[in-house]
This record gives sequence, C-alpha cells and structure tokens, in this order.
Amino acid sequence: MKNLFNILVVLTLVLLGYGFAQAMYIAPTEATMGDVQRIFYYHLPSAWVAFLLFFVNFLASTWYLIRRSNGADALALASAEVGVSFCTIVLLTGPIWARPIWGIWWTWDARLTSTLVLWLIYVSYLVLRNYATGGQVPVLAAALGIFGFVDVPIVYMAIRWFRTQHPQPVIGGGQGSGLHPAMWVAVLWNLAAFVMLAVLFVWTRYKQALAEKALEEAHAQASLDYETEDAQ
Amino acid sequence: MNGAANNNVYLYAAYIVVWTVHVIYALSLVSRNKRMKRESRELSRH
Repeated sequence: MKNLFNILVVLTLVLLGYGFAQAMYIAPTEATMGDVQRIFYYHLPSAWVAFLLFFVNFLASTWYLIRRSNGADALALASAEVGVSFCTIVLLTGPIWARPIWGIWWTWDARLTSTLVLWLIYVSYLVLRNYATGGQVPVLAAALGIFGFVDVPIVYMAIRWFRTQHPQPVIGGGQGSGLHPAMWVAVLWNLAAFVMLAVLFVWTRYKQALAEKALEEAHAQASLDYETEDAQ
Repeated sequence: MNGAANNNVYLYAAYIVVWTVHVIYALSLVSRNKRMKRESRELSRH
C-alpha cells in the first residue's frame, strides 16, 4: 500500500508539473483578456474537484446514516476537508481574475454568492466536526453534509438559471460559448493533476481520521482501566 | 503592453495563492501525523 502511495505521489508531481507548463506556456493566449486568463486553468479544475469531493461527502454521509460505518464517517470528513481547501482556491482565484477583467474584486451575483454559501456550509461542517462534542456529532455532520450538497447543483446551474456577471459555461453554454481545443488540453491536464492531488490528500486524511478514532477509543479504554484500578 | 504586464501580477498572485493553499494543507496533514504518533507513543508508555 505504501508503494502504491509513493507511486501516486510521483505521478501527481509529474502531472502537476506538466499541468503548470500547459497552463503557463503551452496553452494559447486568450485574445481579449491576455495572459491573466490563464488563471482559469487552475480556477475551473479546482471548482470541479471541490464539487466531486462534496459529492463523495454526500455519498459517504448517506452511507454513514444507513450503516453507521466508521470508514464512511472518516471518508466524509476527509472529503469535506479537502473539498473546502479546493473551494477556498476557487473563491480566491476568482476575485484575483475579476479585478483586472471586471474592474472589481467581487459582485453579489448568483454564481459567486452560491459558491460562498457552499464554502460556508462545508466550513460549518468542519467546525461541527472539530469543536462539537458528544456521540451524535457524526450523525449531525452527516445530515449537514447531505443537505449541504443541495447547494452544489445550484452553484453549477446558477449561470444558466440567472443573469450573472460570471462568464457563461464552457460546457453546454450555447452559441458563442466553449473553449479552443488547445485550451481544453490545459484544462484536462490540470483537472487530472488536481484529481490525483485530491486523492492523495483524501487518502492521507482518511487514514488519519480512522487512526484518530482508534486513538480516542484507546484513550477512553485507558482512563476506564485507570478508574477501575483506582476503585480496587 | 503596460496593461498586460500589470495584469501578469494578478496571474502570478493567483498561482502563488493556489500553491500556498495546497502547501499549507499538506503541512497540516504532516503535523497532524506527527502529533498522532506522539500521542500514540505516550499512550503506549502509560
């Protein structure tokens, strides 16, 4: 298993390196925005990876509520945590692109606002997981993960349902939308690299969450043994 | 030309932000691993 992990680390680093080269040097320069459009090659794949991870959290949370499986709970926590880090990147790179292109850092349009709400939902999920105490915390977190996921399709569809400042979709956006094929290559390389990076992060965090649970149980058992010895 | 050069600052800033977030998260995983190993050692010692 350790060998597979190491192979994945090397593969991810190669993909990230090539994705970076694609985004910065190989993809053609966009005609109206210039080089600043290259932010898109990290912004869009980060958003898709965040959506994917929140979907994994939704599935794992559902599984946890059905089976009360520690593995599903650990996967839900890991995917939410890594998803928040990718969603943070989306919320930071978007305004950095918007400033030179729109002349403003932020606007309260449907896409941007629903993305901020999505981030806040999963940050609340992590706050609940990390700071609340009691046996019902994983159940409450699973419920939040399931209902929180409702915002993902709203974020995705926001630019189709509402008039927004955000650019139109690159997939199924109708006439005049879409990407140059060479730009798609850069998007897909970076998507592959970020998916691999997310897999490594989730894998590591999942193992840590399981180990934390085992450690908690061992601590509880040790204090129980201590109290029993004390009573005798 | 000047405008394009100024805009490149935003491009570099965005890439720096992306890598900073990933590196901070990776470091948080490493530090959690170390803390857990330490706790586990302490637990087995008691």
